Amino acid sequence: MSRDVCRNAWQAEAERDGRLGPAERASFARHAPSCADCTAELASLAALDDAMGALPSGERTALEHRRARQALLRAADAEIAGRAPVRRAPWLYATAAAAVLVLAVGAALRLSHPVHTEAVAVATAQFEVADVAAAQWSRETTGATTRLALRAGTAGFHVEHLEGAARFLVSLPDGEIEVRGTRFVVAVDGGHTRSVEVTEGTVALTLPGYAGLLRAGERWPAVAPAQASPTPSAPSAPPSSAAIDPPAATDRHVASPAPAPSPPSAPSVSTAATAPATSAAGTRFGEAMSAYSAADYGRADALFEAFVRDYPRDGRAEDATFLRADARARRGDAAGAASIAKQYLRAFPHGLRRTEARRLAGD
Amino acid sequence: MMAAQRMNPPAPATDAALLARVRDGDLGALGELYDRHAESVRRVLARLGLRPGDADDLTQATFLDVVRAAASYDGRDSARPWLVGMAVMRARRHRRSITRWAAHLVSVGREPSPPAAATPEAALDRQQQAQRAQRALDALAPKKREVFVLVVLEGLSGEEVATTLGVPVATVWTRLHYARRELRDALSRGER
Repeated sequence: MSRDVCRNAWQAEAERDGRLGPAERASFARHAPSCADCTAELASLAALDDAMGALPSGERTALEHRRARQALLRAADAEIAGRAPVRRAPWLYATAAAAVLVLAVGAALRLSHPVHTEAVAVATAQFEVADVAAAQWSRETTGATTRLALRAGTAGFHVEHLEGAARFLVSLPDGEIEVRGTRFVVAVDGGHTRSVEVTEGTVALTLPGYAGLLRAGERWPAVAPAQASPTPSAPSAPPSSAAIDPPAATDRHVASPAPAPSPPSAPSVSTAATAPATSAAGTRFGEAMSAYSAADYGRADALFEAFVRDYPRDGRAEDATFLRADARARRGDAAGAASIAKQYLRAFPHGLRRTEARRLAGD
Repeated sequence: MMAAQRMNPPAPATDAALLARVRDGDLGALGELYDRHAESVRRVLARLGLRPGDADDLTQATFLDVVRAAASYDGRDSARPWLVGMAVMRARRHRRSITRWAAHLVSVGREPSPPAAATPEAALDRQQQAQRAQRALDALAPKKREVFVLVVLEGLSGEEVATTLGVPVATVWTRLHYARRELRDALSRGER
């Protein structure tokens, strides 16, 4: 014969959700400690919250967030300004729609791969992979995302600058690399990443205990592997076409034998061995942003100005110039803000902040 | 002069103020709103069952919706429930779209979660817990899942969720009750 459950047990859930009025809550608070059913119900709800709290948050890295933010502002700017980045004839839309349909049907026939039809038609990364030393890898393309899993050996990568939402990632046994357009060499051995050397562009590297950007001339770890690991670092062998995956019919990447990306040459390794993991430019921009975030606009203005002067070709020079104008405006210096905003518009006539810059410039 | 200015830093703008600027074409305000809420919106989308790439795409789409819908914002200081609501509607449309175009396709597996920096034992334990939780969540029907994610995992109030989903508050609590019951059953089965 089964025992009836306490008729107040439902209040455990209501109490947790804040649905009880003050009187009910007080009454339940007096009742629950002496009631086995209600105590058990409260414990069960807490255990459920704990269990579901284990779900990964899946947050993006700062670099991923920044890229997505830039892509959003670019798209929003086009929408606000009423100008698409590229004007297309109506027939092109029809062609694109037909291509989506064809690709979606084609994808549907390839049942062996996970498919999400909304992203099938977007451009994927164009890249080359070279087998520098016994490299073993496999490739997976999902929508606009291309992911290469490097299991062992040393491979050189050359990724063309990515367009739109295209993403290129290298999965490592113990981490991940994401790039936008770069040349780099990665060595994996014994289930661990031994080294990453960047010869062109920037990569975002995530490994246990390390997450950061490596720029051209930089390497991870900062100490040359010749002393620290047995990873092959000899000049590159000719790329082995046998080790390169055959391209899938819908992929745009270049997978034919290609010249190996520059191996870490002696000067490069020598420089990189002493290079900090974070670049001087990154540190300088970070300092300026910190001042700006702390509302120390005078200092932010000076630091951004110095950043633009010292790194005029850095991708952040545009942000720095605009933020100088914004910092001036926030200090109440409308004339200074207008002057810098005009500088911005001259230097970046198609910049992402041109709408706001025009406003600051008084146009 | 500077000291006086630094003593009175401008207070952070409310979401409502940022949205008013977005409505006027201020991209900086949109960027600030994105910095505040994009990860939260993306997390909701992922917990509603979207693959990481799709969650990224729909997060972008949601914030582009903001540009179009800023003029109709109701003026609440925090725009998070409003943004989450638009993301949920995007997720529903996405689900229907996928269903219509590729009903017979089965999405196999999930993209691996980013590597954790914990010790191997702790990482393994955490990974197993996360897998059990994910399986249990995946087994919920979409409407129950939405309510559980928004109320329990994201901390929105019943009233906010009701407004977001366009249902009576009582419906929110009923769905949440059944969601919890199913999750508890699923988790206890997983432990046996």
